[in-house]
Amino acid sequence: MSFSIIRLIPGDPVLHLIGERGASEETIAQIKKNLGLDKSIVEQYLIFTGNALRGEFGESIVSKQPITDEFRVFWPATFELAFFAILWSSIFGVVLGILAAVKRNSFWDYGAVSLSTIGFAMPVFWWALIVIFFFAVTLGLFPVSGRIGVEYDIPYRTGFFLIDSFYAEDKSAIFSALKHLVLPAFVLGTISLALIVRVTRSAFIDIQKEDYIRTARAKGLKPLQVIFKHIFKNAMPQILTALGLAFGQLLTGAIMTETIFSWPGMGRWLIKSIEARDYPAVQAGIFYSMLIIIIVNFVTDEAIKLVNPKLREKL
Amino acid sequence: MSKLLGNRSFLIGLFIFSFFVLVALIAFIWTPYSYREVFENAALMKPSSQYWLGTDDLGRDLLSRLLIGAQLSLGIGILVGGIAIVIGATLGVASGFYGGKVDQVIVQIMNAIQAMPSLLLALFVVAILGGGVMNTILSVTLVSIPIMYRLVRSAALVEASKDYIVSARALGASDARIMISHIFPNCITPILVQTAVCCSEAILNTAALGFLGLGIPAPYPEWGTMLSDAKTYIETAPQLMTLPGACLLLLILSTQLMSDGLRDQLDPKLRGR
Repeated sequence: MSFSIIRLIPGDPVLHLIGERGASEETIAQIKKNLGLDKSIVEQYLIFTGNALRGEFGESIVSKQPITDEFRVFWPATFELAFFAILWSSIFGVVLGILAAVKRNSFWDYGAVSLSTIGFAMPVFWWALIVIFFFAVTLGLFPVSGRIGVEYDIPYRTGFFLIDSFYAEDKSAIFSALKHLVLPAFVLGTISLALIVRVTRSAFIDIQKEDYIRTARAKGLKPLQVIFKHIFKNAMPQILTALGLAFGQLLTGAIMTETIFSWPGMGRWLIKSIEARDYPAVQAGIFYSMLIIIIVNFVTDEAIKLVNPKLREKL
Repeated sequence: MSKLLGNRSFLIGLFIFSFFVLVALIAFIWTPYSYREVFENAALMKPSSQYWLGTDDLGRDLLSRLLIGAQLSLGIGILVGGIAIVIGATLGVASGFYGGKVDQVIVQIMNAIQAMPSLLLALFVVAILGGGVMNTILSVTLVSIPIMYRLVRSAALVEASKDYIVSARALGASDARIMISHIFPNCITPILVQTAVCCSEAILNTAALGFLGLGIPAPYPEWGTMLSDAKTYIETAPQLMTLPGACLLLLILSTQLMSDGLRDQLDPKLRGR
């Protein structure tokens, strides 16, 4: 338990630091008064913190919309993207990692290791451009930007286009939304794939050496049973930790991917706000990303405790 | 050292890295053209005998820009690695050696920096301080220090509790002397590993910031910035996009291979992971 609290605390000082510095830059801005920027930095900071805790971030300087409203539109887009990215990368990553560990020094093993080594070094933005070049420009299979074809006007319900178009009972809209999702989710997922493959593989290799695995094998259990019942269960904490880490990468990856694919999510919104020097929006963006990281850390810790009772007391 | 040279991944990494160092050094003496020279009638040229790798959208020679880009990326990588050694390793050794309150405070600060993914934090620092060469370097340095600090601290903690430190103290050595001539040399392997890691993080983050248009400003031919310019011409001139990216990937790959190799030598148990 204390561990998760320590994980929670660090979020705060960073926010403090950035919140304050962001405020000091603001004082230069011309529109000081009507934005409440004529007050002292400490006051501004206190106001910001107070508002943030209530979920109020004021209006965006650029669009004049309340930031909370803007956020409500953008976050489902990012969530949709991140969900599919983590889905495919964790499935493929775990399967590939297991294959590599079980068939050590085989073709699969070398393939998985080189894939994850290159994956670690791969700049996401370049990977995205390569993928666009092959699948969109050369083969013309998938669209390059946006979330859905312009011809579709889906009534807003949840902001998740797949769910919305499902409700609208528009099959071609679902198809269009899926088609738009494929490339960005593929690119975004490859970042976490490298990490998940590597961690799964090394966790499996370690656990395979344990005595209880030998016992299980000696008992005459089928290899698949050993893999899933014994090794996989024990490798879960490490895989979950990797997933938590991968989520952090995903957050930065989303900024890149969304910018390249013109995906109208939080990442692109954040970059646009930074470019436009839209300080309230940037502050809110920082706050939201901290919040997401804290939540993810918390969920990861809890999930690890859930799968491994032994660690419950340690944490 | 000879063992290290027998390590395959270290050797490959070293080879690629040396190639880039060589290229960057050559670029000090010779480039086909100036990296900022605009040839007005030669925008988006295909590779030819005149422009070996073609020209970009403004008519600047791609090869020259790639070469200078190698200088920039390597320079920033090595600089950040160096600063990380000076600040991160010093703090790490000191907090491992002293322990107690000093240690606690530094650990908390580092935790705070590391709570966010490095690129996100670098992005926010640049967003607040504004772009430019200095601020970019500052932000990528800031995020790389905790990477160095953590490992060095844990190595220093182990060393500080060993008997030879007690005997050194019994012989009357000062704190500074113990840290510099006993603990630091014994932590050199983790420091080297992390220097390579910091270097590759710095190169990647700089390029990412450049790609988002927040890093090294024009006209400097930073590879990330070049990629961002090239994305408009992905159909007409794909070499503008493929080449800077490939350079970036190879350079980052080489530093990571070197750090993997170093780590294998440091801890044989980890071999083959």
